[in-house]
Amino acid sequence: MKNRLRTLRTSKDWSQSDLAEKLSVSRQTVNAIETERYDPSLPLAFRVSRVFKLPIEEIFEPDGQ
Amino acid sequence: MNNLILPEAVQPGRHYSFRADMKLNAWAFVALLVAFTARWVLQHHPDWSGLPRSAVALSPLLPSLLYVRSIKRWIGGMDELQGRIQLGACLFSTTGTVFITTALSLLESGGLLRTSRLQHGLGWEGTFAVIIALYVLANILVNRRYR
Repeated sequence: MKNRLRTLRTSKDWSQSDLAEKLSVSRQTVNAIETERYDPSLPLAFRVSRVFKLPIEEIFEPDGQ
Repeated sequence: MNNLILPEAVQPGRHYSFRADMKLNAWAFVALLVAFTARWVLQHHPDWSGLPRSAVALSPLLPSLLYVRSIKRWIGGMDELQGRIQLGACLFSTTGTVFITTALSLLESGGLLRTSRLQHGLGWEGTFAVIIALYVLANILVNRRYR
């Protein structure tokens, strides 16, 4: 799954650790999502959506779309 | 910082925490202590009947089960990626150990280990060592994938 997490995070001038703390996950998890090595669970995707105040589909996009 | 459990807290390094280590591994130390004590008791009381000998021989199982509960709680306190990594490592180490012990048993039944030190299997110490070694290996490999 593709995502805009890195772009959104840097636009707010947050480090990976800042975002990790807001999402209650480890920095490694934020990095793995940003590099698209790991797809977050639905609850985590909703937390990301809430943190950035954007709908999920504007942050995550399934492969091939 | 949030209160997530991180695997680094129980690994050697700058994030190591004795408290976290004890919270996770205390029951493992108790199980080892009970196992050595049970072995000593059984060696020094060969006259005991079957029931007390069985109770003493099986006594390390209770702290071992409590250790499994500690591991379950430890993984449950992690975030979803860390939890997945640790569960994967636990699964790899247990299935790997089952595979190795089964292979040794088959070799033994085929008469191929008669002169080897492994002719009676790994023993609980060997099994424990194999589980730990495979767990560490799995952790390194899976962590590298998500780094």
